[in-house]
Amino acid sequence: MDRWLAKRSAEGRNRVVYRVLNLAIILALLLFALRGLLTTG
Amino acid sequence: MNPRLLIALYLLIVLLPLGLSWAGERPPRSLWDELASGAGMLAFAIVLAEFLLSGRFRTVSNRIGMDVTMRFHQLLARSALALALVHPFLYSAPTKPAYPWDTTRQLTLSDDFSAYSTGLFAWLLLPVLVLLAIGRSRLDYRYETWRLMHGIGAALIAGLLLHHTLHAGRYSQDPLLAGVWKGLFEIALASLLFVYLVKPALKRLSPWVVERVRKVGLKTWEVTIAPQGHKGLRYQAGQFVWLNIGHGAASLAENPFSISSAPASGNRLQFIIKELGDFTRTVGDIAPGTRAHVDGPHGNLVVTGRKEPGIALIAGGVGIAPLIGILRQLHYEGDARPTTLVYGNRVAEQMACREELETLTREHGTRVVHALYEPPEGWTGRTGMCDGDLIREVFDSAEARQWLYVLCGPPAMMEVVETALIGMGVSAGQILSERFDYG
Ligand SMILES: Cc1cc2nc3c(=O)[nH]c(=O)nc-3n(C[C@H](O)[C@H](O)[C@H](O)COP(=O)(O)OP(=O)(O)OC[C@H]3O[C@@H](n4cnc5c(N)ncnc54)[C@H](O)[C@@H]3O)c2cc1C
Repeated sequence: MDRWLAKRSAEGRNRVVYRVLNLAIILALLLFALRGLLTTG
Repeated sequence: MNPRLLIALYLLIVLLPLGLSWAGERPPRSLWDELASGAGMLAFAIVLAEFLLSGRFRTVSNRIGMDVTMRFHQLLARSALALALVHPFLYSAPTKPAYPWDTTRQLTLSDDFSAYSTGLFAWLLLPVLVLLAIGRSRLDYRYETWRLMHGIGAALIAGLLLHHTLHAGRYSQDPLLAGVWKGLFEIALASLLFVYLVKPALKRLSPWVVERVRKVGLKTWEVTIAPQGHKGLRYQAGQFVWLNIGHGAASLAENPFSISSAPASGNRLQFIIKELGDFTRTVGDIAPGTRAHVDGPHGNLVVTGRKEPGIALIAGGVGIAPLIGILRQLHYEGDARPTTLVYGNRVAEQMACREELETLTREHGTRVVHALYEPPEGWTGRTGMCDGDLIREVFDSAEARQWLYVLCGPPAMMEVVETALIGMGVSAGQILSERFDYG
């Protein structure tokens, strides 16, 4: 990730980190919503 | 704070309510109901975290920079808005009084009308707040008015959301989660009060006074302020402050300006200010003796402790302000590393501190490359924009790729220069920049 970010301008890095944060948030939301299925199998 | 730690802490705050809901006793509902609740909780948590990002806290911004902090504040508001907008439409359960046997409200949504009305209000206000912020520069009202409206609007939305969450939210019936919501809300509000009440009180304790105002270029002024009854400010060359001249300490009439003086030069602070809008156009009329207040120092455009073998400073227009501060400090410290300043302007009259730059060339060995977009007749320096071609030409050596690059200027210039540097093999970690416009 660091090497990847090193090839980007400041705004480019902002966008990458923003996407990663959004991805983590959406993933958490999906896991939360699907937990009924996940836990009861 | 370390950026990774900051990201981890941010995610912890934003995901905490969701995690507690998961860990609680309430059984899961249908996928859509859970998506709806989850989206609502995430939106509210992001809104509360926004207060911390905009509170000018040095712990938050000292490593990543105030401009990056503000950018995240702007970007994450969009995520909160998207989650908030879909939240009510995802529910599939009916709104009904609870069935006596359904003690955890697995099958119905709350029928508390007041809880929905606060949610609806917030749902309508949030897009207005975000859109007004995105379109701020295109709307014709003063920055201070917008800032006040933005602060009050945000506090109102957070209050409405707290009521909605505590009364309509299924998971918030759990006392632990309810306590977390209240705690996060109080922290958010406290950060607002810190900015509007505590900081002004601190500023009142250490006032400044304008000592001198002099013209240093076309529509460009140098302002010197001196501490009154205190030792001054501990700062590093290249940092900036929010400066308020001629208003009370609690006034919202303050603007960010880079410090152009060097810490080693004494306890006076100097600024190079370009005329642009309401306040900056009046700088030339400021009388010596006028009271001033300072909030800072902020910013991470700092070369202290950097070990790179050379330092390149690339300025566009008034972006020279922090960079001349850095050059002055390096000169005072007798730093032996080579320095190059690339200074782009539209016309020759805009160049500030010309004689001093010549002195720095003689005494410190700084190489100064001027570039003018509209050069006068007989101009022997470079012509054109401070762009990728110029940067590649000036820093065309393997050695220069190891240098530290410090950038300050119009956003478009910085973008082009950064892209050129990265294309030349300079790593992003060797580039420091400060934006003068939070957009
Ligand atoms: C970190 C930083 C350092 C800066 N350093 C310098 C400098 O050394 N010299 C210089 O001439 N200019 C500097 N600026 C730009 C300067 O702050 C604006 O030009 C100035 O605030 C304009 O104020 P105004 O009332 O004249 O114009 P306005 O018309 O009121 O504002 C013009 C624009 O300036 C910005 N602005 C105004 N007030 C604030 C505020 N309180 N907080 C954030 N942004 C604001 C807004 O984007 C606004 O749209 C810096 C900006 C930043 C963010």
